[in-house]
Amino acid sequence: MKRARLATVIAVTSVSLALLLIGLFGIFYLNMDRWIGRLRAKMEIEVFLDPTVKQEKIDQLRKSIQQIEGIESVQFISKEKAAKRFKQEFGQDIFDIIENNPLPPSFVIHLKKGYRTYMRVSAISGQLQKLDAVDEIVFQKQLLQIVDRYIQIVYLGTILIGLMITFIAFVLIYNTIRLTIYARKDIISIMRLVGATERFVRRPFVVEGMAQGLIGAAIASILLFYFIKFVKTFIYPYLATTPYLFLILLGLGWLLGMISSRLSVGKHLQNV
Amino acid sequence: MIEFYNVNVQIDGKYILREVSLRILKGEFVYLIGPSGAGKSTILRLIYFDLFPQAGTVIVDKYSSAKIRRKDIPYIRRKIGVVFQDFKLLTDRTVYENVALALRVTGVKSSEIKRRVMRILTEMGLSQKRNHYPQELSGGEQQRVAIARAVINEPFIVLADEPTGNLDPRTSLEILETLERINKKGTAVLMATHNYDLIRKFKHRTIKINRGMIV
Ligand SMILES: Nc1ncnc2c1ncn2[C@@H]1O[C@H](COP(=O)(O)OP(=O)(O)O)[C@@H](O)[C@H]1O
Ligand SMILES: [Mg+2]
Repeated sequence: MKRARLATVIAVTSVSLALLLIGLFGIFYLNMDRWIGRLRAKMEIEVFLDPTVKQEKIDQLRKSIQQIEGIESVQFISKEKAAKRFKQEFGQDIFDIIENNPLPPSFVIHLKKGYRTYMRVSAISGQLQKLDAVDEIVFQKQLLQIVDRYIQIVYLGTILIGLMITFIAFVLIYNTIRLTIYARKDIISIMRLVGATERFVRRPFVVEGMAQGLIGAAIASILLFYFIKFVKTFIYPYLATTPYLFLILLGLGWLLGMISSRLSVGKHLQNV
Repeated sequence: MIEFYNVNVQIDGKYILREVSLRILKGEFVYLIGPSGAGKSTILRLIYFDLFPQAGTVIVDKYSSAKIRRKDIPYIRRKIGVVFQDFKLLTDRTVYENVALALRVTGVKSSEIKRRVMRILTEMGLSQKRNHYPQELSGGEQQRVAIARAVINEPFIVLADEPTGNLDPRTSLEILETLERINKKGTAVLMATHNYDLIRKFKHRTIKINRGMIV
């Protein structure tokens, strides 16, 4: 019985640690996702046109571009506007350097959410390239490639670590229920002797597993709450969070407790 | 009510029971007597379907060992009370809780549990001890708690496996009187014992068993 009680403490502690880690990863994910989303939203495709292009061709081009899937907005930058932008960006008038405005007219395109990945941008860029009077297409190729590649590694890593610690918590609850079953083998055999159904015998162990999962989740939620509060107060007030995170933790804890105790009971109850 | 037809029980190839046939009628009091290791406990376990024969058939009430389904076993056990030599009480529960357990597992309402447990404890002369733990009671009292637990579901038979094995002769006689009283109210009793002296006090039909065979 003592061993089972100690195991309960260990199981609850490990569930709360596991879920706390999952919660921290959740917050990390949220903030990472927000940051990368902003990065992607800033991304634009510049379509440089033949400097001699006529106005009606430009209107026609704009229509063609708008018809491409995934385009959010198309903005035309005339030669003059390009010169103004140049001045804004570099603080120097282009006409100070060269007499004739060498800057070509262009379209600046923003893409819809979900189209801001390297693959999609490349595909859209290919379509744009095929249009008449399009000279060159520029977007932040490398940045997108890096973001796309590393985000997957980070997400995959997060999921793997999350699964691993969930599995450890699972094993610990499973084992605690096993110990509890053996510690209570007397009452189990007496209950069976006086006519308890297996469902009745099983129930308290499953309830106990669920309680361990839920208590672990509650502890993790409290710790996470204070962690968030601390970070927001002292380190980074714009931390992205969501109350759903706590619901997810509680749900996970409950599920974890239920599944592991059910499996443990299914395996060990028949042996006592 | 209870019938054995040519029952064989083998464990690891060794015969524990061989061609056992017997019958116990409704409301009967029967002694099952034989030396230790003869197979008495095995016969009792067959009756509450804790064990199944390799050959032959055990019939209890409307259930047969050949046909009974796993999920039926709890329901037949509610109609069979079992008492052991070592009482098998839960040391971390009071007398009241030990007896109430047999009703709790059957889903009886707690108000009714209270009423029925109090009545049976009074009948057994244990109402004063209801909040005591088993280890605070004498052997005879502990066995009466076990008997109370066995009869609280109003079974049609009480199986007593050497119920006096751990008790002195005087206390043994008291326990036998208690079983006698239960039997008088219509419950059948099958008592396994190797104590030939004791069973002379109250005469009943006796089934003798030796080395797994009825003699
Ligand atoms: N689970 C078991 N495994 C092996 N042998 C057993 C088992 N249960 C009982 N036996 C053997 O069966 C025989 C009868 O046992 P039991 O029915 O307990 O006898 P009794 O109750 O008359 O003393 C004994 O020889 C015992 O050793
Ligand atoms: Mg025996």
